[in-house]
Amino acid sequence: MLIGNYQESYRADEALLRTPAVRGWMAALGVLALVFPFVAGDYLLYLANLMGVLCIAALGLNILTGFTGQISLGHAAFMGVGGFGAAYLASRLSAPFWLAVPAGGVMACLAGVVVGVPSLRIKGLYLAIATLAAQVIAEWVFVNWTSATGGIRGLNVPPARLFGLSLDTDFRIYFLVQAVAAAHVWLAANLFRTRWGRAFIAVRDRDIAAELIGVPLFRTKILSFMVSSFYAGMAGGLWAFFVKVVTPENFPLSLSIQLLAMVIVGGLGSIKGTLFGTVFMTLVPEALKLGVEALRGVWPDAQAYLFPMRDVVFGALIVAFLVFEPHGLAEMWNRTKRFFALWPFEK
Amino acid sequence: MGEGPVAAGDDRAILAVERLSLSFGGLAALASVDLRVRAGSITGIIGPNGAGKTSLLNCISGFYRPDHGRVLLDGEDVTRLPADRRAALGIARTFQNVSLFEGMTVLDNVKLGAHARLRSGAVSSMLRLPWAVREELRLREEVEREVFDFLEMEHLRRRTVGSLSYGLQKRVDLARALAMRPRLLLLDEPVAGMNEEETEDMARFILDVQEERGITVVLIEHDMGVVMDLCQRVVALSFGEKIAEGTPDQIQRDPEVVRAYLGEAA
Amino acid sequence: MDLFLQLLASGVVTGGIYALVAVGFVVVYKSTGVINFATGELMMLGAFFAYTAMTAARAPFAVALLLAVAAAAGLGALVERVVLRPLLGQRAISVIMVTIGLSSVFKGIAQMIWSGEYRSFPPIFPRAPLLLGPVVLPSRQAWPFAIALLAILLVGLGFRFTRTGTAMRATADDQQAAFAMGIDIRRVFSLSWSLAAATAAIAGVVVGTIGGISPQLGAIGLRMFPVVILGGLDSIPGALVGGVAIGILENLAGGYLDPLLPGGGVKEVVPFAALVAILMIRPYGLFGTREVERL
Repeated sequence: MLIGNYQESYRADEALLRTPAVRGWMAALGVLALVFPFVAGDYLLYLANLMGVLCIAALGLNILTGFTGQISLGHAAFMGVGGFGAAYLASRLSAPFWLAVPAGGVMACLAGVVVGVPSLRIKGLYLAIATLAAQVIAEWVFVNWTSATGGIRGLNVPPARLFGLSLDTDFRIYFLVQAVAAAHVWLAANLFRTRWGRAFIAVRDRDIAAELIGVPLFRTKILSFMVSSFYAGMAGGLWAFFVKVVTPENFPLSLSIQLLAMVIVGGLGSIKGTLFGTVFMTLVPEALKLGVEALRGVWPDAQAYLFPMRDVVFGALIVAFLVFEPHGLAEMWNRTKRFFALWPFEK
Repeated sequence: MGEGPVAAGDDRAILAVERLSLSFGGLAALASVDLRVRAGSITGIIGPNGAGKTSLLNCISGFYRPDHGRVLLDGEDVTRLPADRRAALGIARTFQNVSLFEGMTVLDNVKLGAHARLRSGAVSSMLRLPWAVREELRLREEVEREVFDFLEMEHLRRRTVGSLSYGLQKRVDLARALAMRPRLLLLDEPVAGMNEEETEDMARFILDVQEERGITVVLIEHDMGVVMDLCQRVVALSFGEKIAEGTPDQIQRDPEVVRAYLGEAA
Repeated sequence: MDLFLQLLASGVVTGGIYALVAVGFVVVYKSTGVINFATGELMMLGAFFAYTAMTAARAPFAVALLLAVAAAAGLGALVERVVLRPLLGQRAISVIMVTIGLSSVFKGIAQMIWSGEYRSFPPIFPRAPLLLGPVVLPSRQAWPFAIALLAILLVGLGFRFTRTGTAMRATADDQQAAFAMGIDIRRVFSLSWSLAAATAAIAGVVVGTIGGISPQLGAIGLRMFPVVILGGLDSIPGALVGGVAIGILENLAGGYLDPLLPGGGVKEVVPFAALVAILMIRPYGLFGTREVERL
């Protein structure tokens, strides 16, 4: 709810950042992001890069599942297509990263078309199960198509080179990762204030009415699959240069589920929700690890329980959010903002 | 802006329905219905519940495929066309249960109506390429002028549709249909559930749509006052068959119509 | 030819176990519309319950099995009450994710209690294999199959001939009508989940006797999807036919194709390729009911 916000043209009213306050916050965030790598240690940098890559993938998933309502249990498979695609181009064909990564994105996009084709005939739970099948089949292909993927051993990726500089440390690749992530957030925000973004949401909310209003259902769903898997492919490609080795083990069903969890905990159908969810679901296991280490004096065996505890916490968080806060962190954020908009007065 | 104002004497049939039949299982929803609607007119469709009124609208707009018969838009056979293609050709509709997109604001709901006549692709929109930005801005201006201003809805732009009263939701439904710049507007019970003031507003809007924009209106209604005041022609359905057609006065006095509504005793 | 028959027989045996799990899956979907992604983990817990009963409490196998079934049924009811009930009527993705979350919780808890190592049941069945013409079925396959078959039979008879079973079938057919007839819908939901957990537990014990028990046992739950899609998500006869069919398909594919492909894993992927094919040709499976859209 914006109070006292007065725009003087439609162009101003249609802008992404409509008030000076919002523009100020964005600028501050930008400065923070630029300063961060100079003050943070290696491990924090690694986490920031990890979150950047996962954020792109999660955004893609939110576009398909949160905004268009098509449940996808196979998002990791698209990351794999992008990751292996970029890795292959970089390692076997010596392609530079700025060609390899987008090429990976395009390859994933084409895979998205293939997986999206069933949406012509099936919807809802059945489509979800089809994406699950796609994930299982993709994992098998990654392992068995050894000439393209290197099989179980995978592919090694030379570090990205930018202006003659080799981006082989977390510090150096940070700027690339965050820039690409920010770009993808901007692209997504643009999508949902224009024609096709609206079409996605319409298909999610009332697909039959949407069709009667003139939205071509099949084309819209395929487009959503394409954009979504392009994002996943870009994330996979970036991942390849970030970790510098790509194996089939990197893209299992559990990653698809992790991404879904990020999107749901963050808030389906909300871009800032995706950011919240990615950060939250990445930092919680880290916090758990720190907690277990801190307890080592009191409870020496705690270390052995770390992995299963992560499973329990992960599952419990999903269940808790779905039961108590189904619209996720984004909704909690909005509620807090609304509360403070009029504070100390009440509604 | 659609066809422009059309003279009352224009004899062109913008919509023709020929021998339309539709059944579900063994139940006949529509039995060989014929209908011709003159361009620029307001036609009412009445009948008791289950008469097939919404089924007729669904066949015209493309949600149902009839078993037999044809639907012609301005002479063009659209019977085999999918619903979104018919929308692109100029058939717009509102819904009995409103069917707004709850995840979007009123402004976005209305803009969505223009989907079929926009040209921007997803990539050019995401990259904010100049022609995509121009098209979106132009859309905003058009929608403000032609719809928000016309239906007196400026204050509702950024509201979420879920927070609106039922009457206002129905207005947004109409706004969305108008954003399609249709030739033919199908209204499914546009004043159902409205109080007197809301009904008068809606009736005024419908009249304005026809008079100022020359849009042909076909409406289903139970509110006889509205039907009598607005419609130039009325078609009565019962059990899937057309039982009467004529001016509102004629229909009011037709014995078949009376019987369909009140049963044999009358 | 002998190889073919051997593979066929193994396939039928595996299929019988799949059918048992699928029945529980279908029961939940039919009455509550929920796709239960935690089916595999419920199997795993059932196996561990029985294992604990046999090793810690020295119970004989039959008793341990019954205890496991009872414990699983209780767990199923608890899950329904605490987690599924609040989500009644919410969108599909929420319900799917909740069962996925549960499966993660179960797996973690199992690992914390029993650790990740492999356990085996103490010897349970007589050693003699079953001989059917040229086909040899080891006793550790034949007996579990018999148990699975018996369980399916009991469930089927229960549905057909008991009042509770009829109430569950009625609710699955038409919730509102059943409610209007005075059937306690919430109790039916609760029972459906208990039944699903119970059948999963038996299946888990059965699988455990064949291949050992570990928290990873739940991974087999994924195989459910080809089975129930082939048979139809809401059809119990479909679960039987689908289970056996997928079991046979898996074994034949594994037996004939695995040697040809270096990476292997054919057995796991072929059912999913079949799943995709089924979804394109006949999405509601062999016996499922078509869903109708209303405007």
